[in-house]
Formats: sequence, structure tokens, C-alpha cells
Amino acid sequence: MTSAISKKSLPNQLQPSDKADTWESVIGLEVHVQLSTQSKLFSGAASAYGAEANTQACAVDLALPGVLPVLNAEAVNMAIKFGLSIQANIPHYSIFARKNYFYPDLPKGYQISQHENPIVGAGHLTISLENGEQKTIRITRAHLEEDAGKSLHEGFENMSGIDLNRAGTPLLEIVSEPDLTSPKEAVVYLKTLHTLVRYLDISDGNLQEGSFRCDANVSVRKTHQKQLGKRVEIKNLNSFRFIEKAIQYEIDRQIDVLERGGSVEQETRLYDTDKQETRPMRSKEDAKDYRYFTDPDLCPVVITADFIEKIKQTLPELPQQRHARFQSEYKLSLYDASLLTSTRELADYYEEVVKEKIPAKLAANWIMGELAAALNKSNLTILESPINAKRLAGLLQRIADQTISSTIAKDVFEELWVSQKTSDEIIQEKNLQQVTDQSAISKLIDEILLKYPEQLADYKSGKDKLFGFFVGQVMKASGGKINPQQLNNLLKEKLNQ
Amino acid sequence: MVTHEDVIKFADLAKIAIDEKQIDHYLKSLQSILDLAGQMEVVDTTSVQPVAHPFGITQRLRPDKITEIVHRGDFQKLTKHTEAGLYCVPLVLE
Amino acid sequence: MHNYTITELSNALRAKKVSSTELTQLFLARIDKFDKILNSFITVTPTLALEQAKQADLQYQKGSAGPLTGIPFAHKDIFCTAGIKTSCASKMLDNFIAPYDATLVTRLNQAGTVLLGKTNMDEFAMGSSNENSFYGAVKNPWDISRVPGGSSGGSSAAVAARLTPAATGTDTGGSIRQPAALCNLTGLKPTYGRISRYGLIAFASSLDQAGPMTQTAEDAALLMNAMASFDDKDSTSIDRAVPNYLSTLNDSLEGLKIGLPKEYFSEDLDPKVAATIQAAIKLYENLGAKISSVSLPNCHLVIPLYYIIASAECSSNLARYDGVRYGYRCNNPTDLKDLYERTRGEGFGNEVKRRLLMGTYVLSAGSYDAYYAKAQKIRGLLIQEFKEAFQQVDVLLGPTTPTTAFKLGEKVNDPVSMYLSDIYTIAINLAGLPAISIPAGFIDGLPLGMQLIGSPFTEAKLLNTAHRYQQETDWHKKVPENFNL
Repeated sequence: MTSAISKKSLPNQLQPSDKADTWESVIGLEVHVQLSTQSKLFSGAASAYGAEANTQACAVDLALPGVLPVLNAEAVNMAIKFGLSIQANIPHYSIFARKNYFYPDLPKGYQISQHENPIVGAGHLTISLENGEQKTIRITRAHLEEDAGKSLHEGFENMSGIDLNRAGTPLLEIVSEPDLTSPKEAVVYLKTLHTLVRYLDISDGNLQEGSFRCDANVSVRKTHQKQLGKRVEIKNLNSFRFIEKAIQYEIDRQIDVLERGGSVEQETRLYDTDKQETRPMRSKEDAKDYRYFTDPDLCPVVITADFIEKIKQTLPELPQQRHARFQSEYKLSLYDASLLTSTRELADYYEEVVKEKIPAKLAANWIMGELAAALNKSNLTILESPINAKRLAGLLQRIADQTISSTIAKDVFEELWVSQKTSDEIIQEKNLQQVTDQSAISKLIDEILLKYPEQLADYKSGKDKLFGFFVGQVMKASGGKINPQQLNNLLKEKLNQ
Repeated sequence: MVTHEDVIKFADLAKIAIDEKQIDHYLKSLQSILDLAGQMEVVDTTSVQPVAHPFGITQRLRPDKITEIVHRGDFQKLTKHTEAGLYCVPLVLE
Repeated sequence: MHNYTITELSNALRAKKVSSTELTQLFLARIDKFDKILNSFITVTPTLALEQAKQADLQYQKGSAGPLTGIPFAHKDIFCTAGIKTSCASKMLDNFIAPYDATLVTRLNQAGTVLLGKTNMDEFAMGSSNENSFYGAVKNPWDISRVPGGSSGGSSAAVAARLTPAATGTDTGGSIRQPAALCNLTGLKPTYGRISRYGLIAFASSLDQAGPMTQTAEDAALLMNAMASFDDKDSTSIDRAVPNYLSTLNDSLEGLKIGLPKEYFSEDLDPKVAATIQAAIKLYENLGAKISSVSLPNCHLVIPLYYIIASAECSSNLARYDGVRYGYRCNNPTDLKDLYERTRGEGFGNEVKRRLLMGTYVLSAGSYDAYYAKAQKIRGLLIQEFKEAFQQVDVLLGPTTPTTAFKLGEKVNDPVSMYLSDIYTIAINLAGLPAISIPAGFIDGLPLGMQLIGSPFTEAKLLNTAHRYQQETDWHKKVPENFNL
């Protein structure tokens, strides 16, 4: 006799409990933001992306004998701007330190970074979770440091090629406290941070080009365990999608290890995007004894209250403030406000349109709809839009005052896209004004009803759907120019006679 | 106390090849100098700030302008180990 | 004319008694004749020198010459000179042709000096005897069995033997003043930040300073007028007006307050040295100076302080020498680790390697607080001590070195003894002060130097104090017989 022991009949202790919900994950993120200065942090070479190898590595960047660093003022300004935007403590003075290690993309054999006395102290960033809840993520600090060069392996046999163009580019390293509790939360934090640095105009935030790089510190522990588990660092994640997957994979991996009775090794891992798993870095970094000491080629940076105030004056309205204001001032929905404030340029564009006395919702719909679609299709950003805010406002004005219908407006839009004409010029040229004259509309309806006696009869005998047919025919006959609202009303009237 | 193993560790950190015969020599040198350093211990520095620069001057800030136009060839003629404008080194594993 | 000071040469050039080309040929010939004995030059640049001399002669014809136009000169091989080998006396840079000029070199080029060549030195400026050079030791022209001092031994020997009328040196723990003292020269280390460090190959960044090595204080003043300046390429360069150092050279010393640090005149001081310095003190009293005693209680700590701070900084500064972008690279490295370790193991000399290991140790986790951090704190105490001393006096005076030149090979295997020869000079670098060494006499045929120390940016006062002494004495005019031919 077989007896399949059902789950229900097992005593409680042997129940395969859903262990996953007794674990919690603890995530901290370190983001390296490349600052969009013209020149490098400590030299006057250009820092733009994409130049031919080693054409932007000057004597200082190459660490020739005898060269010395001089600090870029704009990098300091940008760092302080960031600090102010996260309500961080900005210290009276800040010091640069040398982080000593050997690597071919690090020409001096040390990186000029900051150890104690970073330029930005503790602050916080509030993020909006999926469920609408707000969460405050503490930021431990942010500091300035120079970027390293790049090693390239393609096309070389048993050799690597070093390009030092990137060496010396300014980075702002932003470190969060381990306040994040899920991969999704981590991504929200990163996106919020990403939007912020772009709003502040301190970085282009281009993930593919490496302007926004993320390292994640991930550990797990039992829900009521006070002590943090061993943490693993996942390096160089360069897309939001991969970040989420990598962190999730790592959480699952660690839980698995611990459940099997093993222990998590404190190490650095990389995310393999093909295999979709994390793996330990092949070359272990030496002992990690960086022998930090104050860089004697540089002096302490003094930051006065006046200086901070001057920078405060240059702060734009921050994304969250703008988001809130769009909701309250323009009565936009949370969703619409989010979309329209997702970048500063888009929000600026929107407000420029609305300033021309265009109804907020109309502007929102058109910018998020037609304009967005057209920009996407041509792979353009809002800054590159062939239709500037004023011209779009011109079009929307004519919809608002009923000169043209929405449908006709779409045609005008297309014309605006490829020409420099105003909407009025186009409406005039193509004779697109909406027909609002009741008697004209009435006449057209009568003509159509006469033209289709069979359908009229069918309608009268109950086929309500034919209403749409008549609407369509009248519209077609008028070249789409009849005010739809009036058409509907008048047609209804006549049909119900 | 500096030990044999320490010398090997520091040589590794400093990336300098040393052979067995030299370790004792370096050990003695490091030791004799560090004995001198022991003299520092007795000095009371509890209320003293470390001095990195003798005159307390502060960092000058450079305007963010491109002032260096790089002629790659000028620098790359300093070594024969370049290819396609890149500096060549033995394979760097990630 | 080979014994002429720069001031005298400049007068002769202006009076058209001689041309720059003739002078240059004269010194090139002397180098050719004598330097195989002294080994004071690493690179001689005759073609360039004669070209520069020709240009200088044109300037004299046009009447647009300055005080240094056409003056033959030498640079310590630690300064980058564009298109010319710059080796730091190391195998590591034996193949390095600098692609740019150090700011100091540019300034002296613009002033019209003629480059005879690059002088020998201790490797990467680490040493006090010039026995640590990849290109061999330098000999002291006063006694070729003895060291000229270091690390600017090449510049010192070359000027002492009048193979060049003057040269540049650098001073991190005494490397201008000590060799100047051992070779009967005037060597000035200016205030830290007075002369640009851009292009000066770094040893210990917070201590390094460039300076002139000359026959007289007057020549030093002339050179300082051209060398001192603010440089926006050097973050540690001080933005402060440069006085005309010549204009106050002859000021009276009446009422000058000279302090004698009692720790510099302890019982351990050699009696002959003490006597020589006492004679100089007497002379200053006769000139109207007021002598008093001061104390620098922590100055005995300078040796460990210096070696901890200097080695820490140099261990980091020399990390760039890895064979990747320039300089020596070992043959057929098997992997990256091998590239680094063998390049640096083979490229650096023993003294350099010793200091790199020391610096690495001092900064390593676990040692940092006890050594480096502690040293920087005591450094603060030292600076305070000097400040207090200068509240009572204008200038400090003492011997530059505890002995005259020692024999080649005598201290090479005893690093501590070697370091102790810097005992009077090191504190000055730690405090960033200006100091000058001038000839004060001879002991058993060997020159002895006296050091004058000032508070920050008082180079003019120091040069004045030195110059007035040189007007009353002629030690500085003596030249070693064997090279006075």
C-alpha cells in the first residue's frame, strides 16, 4: 500500500517552510559619476569622450617625471552643488589623498582621491517606491577622485593595450549607507540619483559611455539578525537592467550558500551579462593596502560659507520639488508629472509651452504623445527637437481656441516638423480651419443623410452603430475640418428627429 | 620589529624584485632606521595637528579650460612599446 | 677667466672683453680636460651650448642682453630639459629624453644662460655623497679620494673645479647646502614654494626645493632674481612678489640679531669645526651683529622625522617608474607582475630600493599612525620651535655639516652614519625655511661651511648676511690647486 504523505500531514517541524521570507537583503551602492567638466581634474587636457587613443593624455596625465597636479575649480563647484542638493554637510576644508596601487591604467601608481575630509559629508536622497511610498536613503559621503585609463584586449595577442585618455577625468564617488532592501529599490535609488545629477548639469549620466558606474555591496541576513552578513561587492554594473538582475542573482546565491550550511566569502565579483550570473574576479587585488596619505603636491581646499552660498544660488529647482510643483501648479497626475520632470530639459520645455497660456493637460498630452513619438522615431532628444516650445505652443493654442481639431492638428504638427513655418501660416496655406458654422455643418449632414438612405433606414430601425458611419462620412466630406463636438450634437439631433 | 616576511610583503607592495640574499640586508637597514623612529614615541603630540605643508597655504583652483593640446607622437616616442597609439603591457586579466 | 664669478663674467661680456662663444668654448674645454677625473657631468651638450652662445652674442651686439645672457651654466640632471637626456642618475631614466622643460629651466633659458650640460647626482636625489649614481661616484676636487657631498654632488664638484661658473641643485634634506659646504661653495635653499617644482623630478614633494650653487652670495642673488617666481603649474608654489635680491646685498648688518641654536654647538661638535665657526661669529660681531643663544629642543628628532616623511613620499612618487610609458623596461616580462618587479628591481639602485621599502613600510596599514602620522605631528612642533626662535632673532647660525668631506666608501655601508651627516640641514627642509651655506674656512686643507637660516621668505636677508661676510673674507675665492690650470 502506498501512502503518499501529503504536505498537510507532516508535523510542523518538517514542513518545507518557505525559507525565502525569513531572509532579508542589505544593499549599499557606490556610484562613480563622471563630471562633465571641459578639462580633467588635475590637468588641462580635454576630458571629452571618444577621442582617438592617447590624444587626450598630456604630460600630467601620463605621469611623466616632474609633473604636478592643479585642481579644476569647476569640479569643486559641481561636487558642492551635489552636496547641497542632498542636504549634505559641506566641510570647511577638504583634503586630497593618494591611494597607492599598481595597475597599467593608473600611470602614477597612485590615484589622487579623498580619504578623510571628503568634499561632501553625510546627506540623504528621498526615493519614491512603486507603491507610492517615500523612502529616505542616507548617503554617507561623496568625494572627488580622478578616473583611471582603459585597458583594451581586442586584436592583441597575449598583450593589453592601454589608452590613457580617460586617466585624470574627474569623478564624484557617491556612497550610500546600506539602506536599500531590494534590487528594485536599488534601481529606483540609482534612477533618482541619475536624474538628479543630470538636473544639476554636473554629468551627462551616459551609462554606455561610463559616465555613471555602479558598484553594489550586497549581503543577506536572517530577518531578526542584528549583525550584518558578509558582504560581496559587485563591480562595474553599467545598465539599470543588469544591476537589478545582478543584485537579485547575488542575493539568491548567498541565500543558497547559507542554507546549505556554507559561508559567504567576502570578495569582489563581476556580473557576467551572457551567463547572467556573478562570478569572482579572476585577478585578486593585492592585499588592498592602499597606504593612503595626504597628497603633498596639493594643499587643503578651503570652502567658505560665502563660496557655498554662491553655489547655492546656481542650484536649479531639484527634480522632486519640480515634480511636486507640476502636480500642484498644473494639476497634473503623478504619472504625468513624473514623465514630464524626468529630465530637466523636458520639464523646461513643458513650462515654456505652458507659459504661452496653453492648458496644462493639453500641453502634457501633446508633449508626452505626438512630440515624444516623433522624437523617438528620429532618435532625437528634446534639446534637438525641430519644433521648439514656442512653435508647439502656437499649434496647441489653435487647438485650444478651436481653430482646428485635434486630428487636423496632427497634420499641422507634421508640417511644423519639417519646416520653419508657424502653425498659423500652415493653417492659412492649407485652409485647415475648423468649420464651426452650425448651418454649414447642418447642410453637410443633410447631404450625407440623403446620400445614404439605406444606412439611414437601418439606423432608424435600430442599428445604432451606424452613427459612427455617418460621423465618418461627414468628416470625410469636409476634409476633416468639422468641429467634432458640434458634429456629434447636430447629427444626434437630426437622427433623432 | 620588522620580520623576514615583512620585507617580502613590502617588496611585493612596492613591486620590487628582491632575492633571498638581499632580504637580510634590507631587514637590517629597515631595523636600524626604525630604531631611530622609536625616539619619536616619547614626544607628546596629543594636542598637535599633523602638518602636511609648512605654511598652511590653501589649494588654488584652476579655471576649467582646455590648455593642453596633445601631440601623441611627442610622448609615444619615449618608449618603443606602443601599437596603434596604445601602450603595450603583458595581458591584463580582469 | 675660468675663476670669474657670474657677476664678473657678465661685466666682461658687456664690456666686450670676451664673447659668450669664447667663454662657452673655454668651459667646454675644461670639462673635456678635467671631468674624466671628477665625473661631475652625466651629459655634456656642446652643440646646444655653442648655438645658445651664438644667440647670446647677437643679443650683446643688439644691446638687448640681460645680466645672465651668455653665461655658461649647468643643471643638475634632476631638471627636465626638453630634447636632452634627463636621467636623475638612474638606470631607470638612462634612456629618457625629456619632452618638456622644467619651469626653472625655461626661466633661466629666457634669461639667456648657456647650457653646458647636466650634472651628476645621487640617484633620484637620495644620498649625501654622490656615491649612489648609476654613472659612478663624483670626486671632490679638493681631494679626489673624498666625496663632494650629495645629492647635488655633480653640480658642486663642477662649480668647485670651475668647470662651470655656477649650477642648479636641489635640496630635500641638505642636498645643496651640504655639498656646497664640502666643496667651498655658496649654496642656497630657498623657502619652500619660492621656486617652482614643475619639472623637478620629485623625491619628497613636501621637502624638495631647487636653488643656486655658486661661488658667491652675489651670484646667488643674481640667479635668484631669475629663478624665483610663482608658477601656476605647481600647486605648492607661493604667489608672492620676488624682491630684487641684489638691491639689499650691501645693507649694513648693524643690529642684526644672530641666534646660535645651542643644540648645534653641543660638546659632540668637533673642536676644529667649533673653532672655525666661532671665528665667523666673531666677524659678525665686528660687523655689528648681536649674538644670542636660542634653543631648538626637538631638533634631535629630525633624522627619524626626515627619513619617515621623505621615504613615505618618495615611495609614492617613484611608483610611476614602471616601464610602461617611458624609461627602463626589463626584457621579455612574462606577465604584469614580472614587468613591474623586474623593471623596478633592475632599474633602481640599492639606496633607492632601500628607501622605497622603508616608505612602503611606514605607510602600510598598522604602521601609519605610529610612524607617518606621528612624524607629521612632530613636524608641526618643529615648525613652532623655529617660529619662536625667530621671534627673538633674525637669523640662525651654525655649522652646515659636522665634518669636512669624508672619504669615498667610508659611509656607504652605514646608512645611519650617512644620515647623521645631514643633522644640521634636515630640520630646515622640514620647516620649509630658507638657508644658505657659505665657505667659513679650511680644516686640514678641506673646506668647511657655515649655515645661515632665515624665517620664511627672508632670502634677501640671508644673501645680505652672507655677502657682507664674503666682503670681509676670501675663503670663497679659493680654488682647488689641481684644477686651477
